Amino acid sequence: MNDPFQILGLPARFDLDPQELDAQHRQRSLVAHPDRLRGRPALERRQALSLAMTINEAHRALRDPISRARALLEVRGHSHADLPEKQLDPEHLMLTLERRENLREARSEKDQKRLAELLAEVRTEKASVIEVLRAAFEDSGKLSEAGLAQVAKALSELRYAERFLDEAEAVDF
Amino acid sequence: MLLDIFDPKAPPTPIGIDLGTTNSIVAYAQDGAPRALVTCDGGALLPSAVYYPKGGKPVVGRLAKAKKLSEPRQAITSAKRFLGRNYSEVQGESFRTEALVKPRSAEEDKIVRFDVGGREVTPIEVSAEILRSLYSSAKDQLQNVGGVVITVPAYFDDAQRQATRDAARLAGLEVLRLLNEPTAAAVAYGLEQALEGSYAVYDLGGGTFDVTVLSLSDGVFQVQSTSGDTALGGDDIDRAIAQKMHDFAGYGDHGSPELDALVLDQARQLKHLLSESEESEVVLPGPKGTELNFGMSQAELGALVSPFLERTERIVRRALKDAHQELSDVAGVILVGGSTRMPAVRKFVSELFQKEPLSSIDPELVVAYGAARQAAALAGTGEDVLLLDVLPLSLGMETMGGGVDKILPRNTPVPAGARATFTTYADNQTGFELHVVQGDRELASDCRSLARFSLKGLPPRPAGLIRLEVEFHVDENGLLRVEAKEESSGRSAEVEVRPSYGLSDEEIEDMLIDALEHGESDLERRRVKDEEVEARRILLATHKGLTSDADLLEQNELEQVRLAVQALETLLESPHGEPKRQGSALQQASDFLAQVTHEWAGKRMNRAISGALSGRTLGAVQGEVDQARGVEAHLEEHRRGKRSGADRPEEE
Repeated sequence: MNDPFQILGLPARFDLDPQELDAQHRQRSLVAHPDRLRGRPALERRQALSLAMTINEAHRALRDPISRARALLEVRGHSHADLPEKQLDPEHLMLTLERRENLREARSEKDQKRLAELLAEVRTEKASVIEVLRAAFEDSGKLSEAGLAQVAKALSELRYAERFLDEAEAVDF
Repeated sequence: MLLDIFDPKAPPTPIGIDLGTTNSIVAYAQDGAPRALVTCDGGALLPSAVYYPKGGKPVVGRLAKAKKLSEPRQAITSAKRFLGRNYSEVQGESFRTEALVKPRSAEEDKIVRFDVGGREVTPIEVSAEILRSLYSSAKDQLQNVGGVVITVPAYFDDAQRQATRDAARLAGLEVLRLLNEPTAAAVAYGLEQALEGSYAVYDLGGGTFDVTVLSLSDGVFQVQSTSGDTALGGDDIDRAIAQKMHDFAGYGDHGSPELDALVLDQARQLKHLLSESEESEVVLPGPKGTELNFGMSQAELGALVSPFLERTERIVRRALKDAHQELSDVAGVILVGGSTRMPAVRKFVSELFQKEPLSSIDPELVVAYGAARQAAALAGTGEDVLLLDVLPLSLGMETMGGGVDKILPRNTPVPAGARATFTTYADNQTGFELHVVQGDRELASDCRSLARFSLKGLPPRPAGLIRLEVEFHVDENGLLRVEAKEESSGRSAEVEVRPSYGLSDEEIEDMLIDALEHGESDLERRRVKDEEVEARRILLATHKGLTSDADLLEQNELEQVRLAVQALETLLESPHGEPKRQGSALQQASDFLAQVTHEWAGKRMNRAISGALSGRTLGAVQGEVDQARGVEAHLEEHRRGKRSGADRPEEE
């Protein structure tokens, strides 16, 4: 895939300002969106179309922290194979199972308070995992082995947290 | 103005049409102000009703709506509810007063056909009748009418959108774009009040509910998410009231279409009365010619409406979550749709968002106004706005076992592209059956089927060793193209998913037969000419680019660009062969050039933007980038086109 940071003219960093990300996306869309090229040759419009797709794709990739981290790894010269096999931390696995059980109970007992506590807990965890990722990418250049392991662990935890939040936020009494 | 002199060279005025379930409106925008045009009924609102008299010409509007009571089967109202839906989907609906033709084949089940007394008409034809009437009113008042933007519910699926396009084609309209109704309303408010920030549009119409979250900034309207229910609206409330009336009057199961139509009409009447007063009553026919009074209070209606409103709250929350926003992030709420006039709905919305909804523009007209402004923007005669829309529903492929692999999830901004890889599941499998579906359900059978195609002749290999790359592309009009390629054998297949649900292309062609001006070979020749002009323009642009930005290319890339340029130039100079072959060869060579210059174009754009962004306006940036593209020549042409208003219509 093309480098989404380069496409959107942004520094290859993990902590991007979401407003700046949106603004860069807007600037580029104003230039490349096919609606801006009406009346121009079809080939030019086709090219704009594919450019606009690339811009949208880059925006999507950078908006989401997981795909942003992956893009950043690629920019820093790592391949997918560099990430250590994700080993489930047994402790984190236990925690995840416990939370699922809690969510199930909160749902069946229609326990608003418990659900809110669970949501708050996982949201806090998500924020701290994102902080870990930010720190791991702080220095430029390739990541150390330890750094890669840290990123791999954080990414797996982030995935769990997001999946849990998806489910918990959809609960409807 | 003393005289309205018809100027034959007057530029065509683009128009916007709100093709509503209950009422339709046509509007245009001039000097930054939208205006509704007068319809054949004398006002801005044209009831979306068509009456088919025996042996006579169809009648549209108020008269047709009135005929619904005396001849319910000859008059079709709310045809929009049936657009793009099939017989089995709608035949079970209660209080349906139209006579449906039972499908005689599987093919016929794909579309609803009304029996209007010996004649069969489809919802597409009914909608075309309404569009035709609006178009002719517009022509009377504007003389020269250009392209049209037609609004549709945000949650319309591909079948429903295509049916709308088909109706426009039947009515002889050139569609610039289908625009989502809530987005149209946001455009109307956004431009009038120069809004900035995050806005939610709550659109409860006659038959559908949508909510859309947008961010407005720098003249860009970016849809963040959209969500909705195509079968939730004021009609459901009418039916709920009608059911109460039925139970009250004890009509039993033997309601005739005439009685049902009357009860529904009274239910609607009562609902409208309750928007004005706390309590109201209507008269229902009782046994043996007697009359019954049926009364209701606003509170009772509120209780009846409450389950529907709770359903809308769930949809609002989902849309906000998809937009990564909280209720408190929303700077304002825009209400759209006739049903939002109900006090219970307004109260519910302001409590939910903790804000009074915006209301300075007439809610009946706001959607048509937005459509008119977007039409002007697209034709280059209006304000400088850009609308960035999203996919309303996920697009995906059916997997083994009937699941769905979502390739482009809902709320992905368009234009959009995405890839996925599939592998063979059986040993020596030499082909793939590909099924493209639309929707957010887990099973393919619950989603809308868009296209099926297959890729055959693959080399026999053990399972999992053949890798199929599937690419989805959605363009700015929402049209989907799917490409499948197998690397090792180089086999590929491609479909343009442009489904015509129910009406085949031949049927439409038949209906359009008199509109055909050119024979096929004429069309072919014209196409080749267009291709040639295109090719020359793009060569010019590429040469200019090579002069200014060749340093952005690697040596081997530069070589490739030169080769592609050479190939295209050679083809242009060679004597013309058979038009068809010549055309496709040119197309291929142009495509190749586009392909090898794609990445370069991106780099050039970035160079131009970063060079230009230091403290200058967007207009200047745009100019700079145009320079970088080396397209001054085109721009000049574009300007000329703009002045005469003769923007070339989009090729479909």
